Amino acid sequence: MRNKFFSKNKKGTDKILSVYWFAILFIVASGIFGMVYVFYNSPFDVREIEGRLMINRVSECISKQGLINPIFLSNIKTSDSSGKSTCSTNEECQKIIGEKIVSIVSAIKPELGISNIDESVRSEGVSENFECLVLQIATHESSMRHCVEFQKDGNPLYCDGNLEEVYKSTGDEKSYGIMQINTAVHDINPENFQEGIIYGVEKVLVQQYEENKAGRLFEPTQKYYSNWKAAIRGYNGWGLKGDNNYVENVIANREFVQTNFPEFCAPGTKIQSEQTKGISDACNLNFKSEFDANQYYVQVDFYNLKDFKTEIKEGKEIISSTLVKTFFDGNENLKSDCEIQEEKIFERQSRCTEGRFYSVDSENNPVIIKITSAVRKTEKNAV
Amino acid sequence: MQCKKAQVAETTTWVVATVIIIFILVVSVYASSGLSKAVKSVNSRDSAAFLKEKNADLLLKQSLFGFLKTKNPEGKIIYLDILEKNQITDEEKNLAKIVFTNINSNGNAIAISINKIQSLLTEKKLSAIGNKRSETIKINANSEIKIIVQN
Repeated sequence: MRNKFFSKNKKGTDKILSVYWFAILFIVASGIFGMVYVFYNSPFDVREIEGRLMINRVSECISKQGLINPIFLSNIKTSDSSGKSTCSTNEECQKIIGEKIVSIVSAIKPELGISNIDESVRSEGVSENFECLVLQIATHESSMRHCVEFQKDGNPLYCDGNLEEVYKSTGDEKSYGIMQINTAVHDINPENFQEGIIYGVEKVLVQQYEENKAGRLFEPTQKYYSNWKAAIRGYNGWGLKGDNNYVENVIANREFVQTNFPEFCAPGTKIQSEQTKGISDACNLNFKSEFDANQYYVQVDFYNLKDFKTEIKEGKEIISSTLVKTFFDGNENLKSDCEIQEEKIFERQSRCTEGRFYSVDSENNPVIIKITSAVRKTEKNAV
Repeated sequence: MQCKKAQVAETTTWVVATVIIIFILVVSVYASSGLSKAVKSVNSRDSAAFLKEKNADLLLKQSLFGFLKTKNPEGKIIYLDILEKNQITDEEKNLAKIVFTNINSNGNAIAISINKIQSLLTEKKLSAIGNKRSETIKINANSEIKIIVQN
């Protein structure tokens, strides 16, 4: 009886165990399958190394054995405000000043973060492109002069850095310089030609555009302005003290700049802004990929070593000195991902890589070159 | 009664064993997920296969070329000056400090070496531990200039 009991029980236990082992086998097999699937299902992320390779390739193209290729930057002094060019008549001085304005504005244009900026300015009928819009404002504000006199000893920027000799508006208002920035409202050194232009563009014109592009009523005339017209209106102010026909007056200067700066402002002219001469063409980069949209972006910034400064902001090192020149190519929309990436890296955004190196221009001026590259390709690298 | 106790003990053993097996599997799946992300993120620092020399730094080399092409305060190209004197002057060392600290991060230790005589360009000293990047350019058959950067 006892033997019979044990014998029966043993068979039952064996059956239960074999089912259990089968279940364990299944669980372990599923686990191994899961591990292999998870490991091989995630793609190789080659975006960073692609970005690094692109930086290396561009750096080789820009600088050969320590000398900057003149097609990118022949001489950094041509872009600064040292005012070496001379003029004798007011028109000649306006021409020199206007060319400097175009050079400065085109250098900062990519940093403004407005896509198709030239197209939006043109389609609204205010100017031929963004640089010419700034020329029109400078013409209206100061007749395109930075100093009290159009020139001294042939130098149209003889006053640069000397507030006493910088052109000031008549009356109580403390507006100075080429862009007539009101120092009662804005915290800026107006005696500095380049600083005044950059401030006027970035902190006044573009800021007004961002704030009022949806439209705003100008109460003194009951006119409603939007987009760039609102930005121009904002440049002069929305209060009662300004020029009520400021927008119309600035737009009326379109003809003046077209006549005097046909190389920049003639109908149909699009300033390639010294930036977009096409790095991809110059450096034989192929931006084509299996995707429809452009998957790459590359930007090259030139800084003068003599005034090169960096500062730490929220643990990140940021270059605080003024750009001498910028080139970019590729999909501009990827640039915003680089700005976000400064805070945190998101898997499904394009990956940005940055590199800096040193070189000298044709006149042996020391230059720091920063190259930023962005590679998207998220479909193949991050999904 | 004894038989029931034995059955309970055996069942408990297998239940615990099952839980442990499942736990190990879950951890392994999770680890493989993490591992795949780490291993498959190809970057220039970790991927010696993509670069022939692991510590090669093209931008550093470009900068070293640029530095050698720069004129010193006397108006002489630094390369020619080193070629003549077989050493680097203090002014040139100062320029090297400005150049190489500006192209690298603030926290890096940087040294320049001419014919194996090393001069530190930063307050931070080079350490035996840690990843170093270095680039060398031969000035002539007997002398060379080397720049060393440590993160």
